[in-house]
Amino acid sequence: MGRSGVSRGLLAACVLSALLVAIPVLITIVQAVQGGLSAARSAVGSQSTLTLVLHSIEVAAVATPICAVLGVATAWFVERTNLPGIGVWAVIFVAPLTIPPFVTSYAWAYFGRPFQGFVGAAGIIAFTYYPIVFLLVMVSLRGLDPALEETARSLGLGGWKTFFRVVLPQVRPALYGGVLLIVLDALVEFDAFVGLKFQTFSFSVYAQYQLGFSPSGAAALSLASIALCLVLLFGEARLRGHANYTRVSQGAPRTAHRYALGRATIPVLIGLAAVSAVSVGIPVGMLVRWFSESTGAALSTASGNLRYLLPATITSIEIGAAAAVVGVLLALPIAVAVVRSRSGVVTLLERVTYLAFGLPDLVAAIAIAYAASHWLHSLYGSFALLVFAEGILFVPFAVVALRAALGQLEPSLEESARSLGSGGLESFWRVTMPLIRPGLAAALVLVFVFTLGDLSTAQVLLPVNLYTLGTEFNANSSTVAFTAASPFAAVLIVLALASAYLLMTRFGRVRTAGRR
Amino acid sequence: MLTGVDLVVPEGTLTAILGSSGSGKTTLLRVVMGFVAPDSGVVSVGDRVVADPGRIHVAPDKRAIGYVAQEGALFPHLSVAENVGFGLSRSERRSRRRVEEALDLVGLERGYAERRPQELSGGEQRRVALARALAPRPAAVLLDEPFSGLDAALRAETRSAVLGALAATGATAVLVTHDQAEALSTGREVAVLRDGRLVQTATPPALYRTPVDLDVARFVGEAVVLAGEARGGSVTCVLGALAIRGEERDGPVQIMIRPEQIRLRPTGDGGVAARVVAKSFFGAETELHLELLNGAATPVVARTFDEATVEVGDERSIAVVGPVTVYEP
Repeated sequence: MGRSGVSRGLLAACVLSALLVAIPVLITIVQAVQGGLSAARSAVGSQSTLTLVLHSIEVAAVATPICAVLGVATAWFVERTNLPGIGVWAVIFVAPLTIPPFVTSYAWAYFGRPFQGFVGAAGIIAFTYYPIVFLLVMVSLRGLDPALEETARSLGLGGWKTFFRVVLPQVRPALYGGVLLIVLDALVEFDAFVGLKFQTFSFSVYAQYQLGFSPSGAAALSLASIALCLVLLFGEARLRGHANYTRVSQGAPRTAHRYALGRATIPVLIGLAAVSAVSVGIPVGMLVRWFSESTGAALSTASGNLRYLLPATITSIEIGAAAAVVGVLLALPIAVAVVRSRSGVVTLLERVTYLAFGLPDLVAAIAIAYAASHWLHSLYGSFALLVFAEGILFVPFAVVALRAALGQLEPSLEESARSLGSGGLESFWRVTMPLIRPGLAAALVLVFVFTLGDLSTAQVLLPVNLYTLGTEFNANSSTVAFTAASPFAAVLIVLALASAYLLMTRFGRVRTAGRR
Repeated sequence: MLTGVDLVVPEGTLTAILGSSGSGKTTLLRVVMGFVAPDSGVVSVGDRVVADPGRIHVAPDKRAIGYVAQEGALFPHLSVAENVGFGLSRSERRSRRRVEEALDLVGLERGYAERRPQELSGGEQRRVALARALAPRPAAVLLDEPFSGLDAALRAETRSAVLGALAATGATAVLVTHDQAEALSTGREVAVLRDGRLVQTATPPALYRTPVDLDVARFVGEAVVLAGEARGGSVTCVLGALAIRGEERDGPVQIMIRPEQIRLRPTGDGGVAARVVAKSFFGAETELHLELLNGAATPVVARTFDEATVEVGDERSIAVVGPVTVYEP
């Protein structure tokens, strides 16, 4: 109670969104069923498959707790302490998420064999994806009523105790939400391991396509991942229960007190610098090194590649921008409904959007290609199909970003608009949209950078005459001529850092004062 | 959550709905607004039925009911003028006339029009919220705790501005509050909501003097409750024989007396002897807690405007002025 319900129109929009997003999942199920039991048994039952699945689970098990700790700690330092240079740190903390995982992957591989195995895989996931926790927990901390902490202190709890008994329980829903996305991603990640010699679950799916070209075998494997995904999704929903993402306090929001780090300043700065050195330093540093250590021959290849740079950049930005619009449009009704209602139907529809993300990217892309080739042949191999595939893949992230902003709005604002004669859509357009504009931008940026960093989907669905920064980087780096790949990586990293800045300044924010 | 709520708000008057937190007053307001659909029961505005489960549910925006949310809920991205003009047609918004009229109504100068909501005090925000609600000339206005969270001076000023504007437009209004003084002083009628039920609707004096039961009596003001024996038009109790308000009755009853009915006199001047055991100073008036010297254990509360003349430990004689209200024991 307290929030206005979900109208029939909104519910219809949610159902449509969920159906569109679920297309690859539905097709994968159909493919698996068509393949029959024996194909499924041979694909799922093989010893190597089991080993690879275990690899994925191990990576998730090791990387996720690191993400949780890093994410909560960095969020707390940015939001609640007087850390010097907070603005710069905040962007650095977000940046790893926006740097394409395949670039990070090759950068880690460059360190030699120890980093090409499990350590590299878990490390890449941990240091690439902790910003998801960072962003969500930061918004949650911002929304906390400072009176709660003050009360805990007045009851005799020290700083640490207050953190664990008052602050952490309040940010727990945000933490769970972030962890869920990371676990799902870690289980099906492929792009982040392209530079490594470590094989995971997605690799076995990939092998099914490559070796036997057995889409039904791959689909059967993917069913296993969907099943796992379902368990996680409903487990997280149970864990979170009815807790609210961002509680809105009544009246004027008070800015929370920031802890003075004092003598801890230097050790904290050193610790954060170490984290950043791994998460941002490795990919960016490697890029600089590839440039500086290059031989004349490599440089000439690199300069030869420069003529592909502009078209690749334009294509990448076009795909990213279009996918961002698609993803955010699909996410909007779901995010609005979730903020307004905690009914079973709405929760179910929201959870459905994660399913496609829980498929290996490659499987999702192939499912969409399969659907187009069978039923919509004109779309097969088109730009639109690629954009659609990328857009639906990252809907969960767009939902999370939109929710973080929508949750800040008092429901009474939209209700006041309704009482003044504006219909549901008109109120949304005149009141909600202008207010959540920063959060909307953050959602767009998130889908945009994930699309830039998504290699698997592009490799399957990219129209034949097009190439992107990612595909060019990959084509050149697979010959271990990193210098030749570096111009593409450089543009990708520049785009990533710009996106990190936009994300940091806009994620989970709403407009409070209007422009004049 | 709401049952048996049968409330008619006469056109052009203000009805206050009084209830403690959790009594269902916000739900009632949201049902009338259309933010929540009732499971049963009918809501109508004038002759028009706006909610009749299974048949009619008029959307909030089609009900023409103005709404002033608890903290005002001004749109933070719009100026004062844009807020006030929000519900107006495009041409009315452009001409600015109606916006200025609405600001005049709530007693805000034209200079406020270009300010941002963030630059306004709490009281000014409530006034702008009312101006915004009144601007489209709604059939009725609902106000949810419109003066809560304001300090005493601002509260009084905002209250008179809001009541003035409502009276000037002849608006039919419903004000929801948990503050009995606010309800009694603003409403032509006051409706008391308890556990989702409307237990009494009456004019403020009638509600105060003849509440339906002792709970309502205690909710709308301080009450001294004594046991007594009624006979015809009077009742006998530790404070002597008192006149009963309303119909005559016989047998044991509970007596409700308002503290201001209990007057102090010098000892020996008739009445019942009592000693002052505690004293609370409220400024204009002082509340005295008294102990009866005839041994009755009943605590008695009286009010006086003359703080300086009584001290704790003093003995006085007390008498009850005016008729009292009695209830079944």
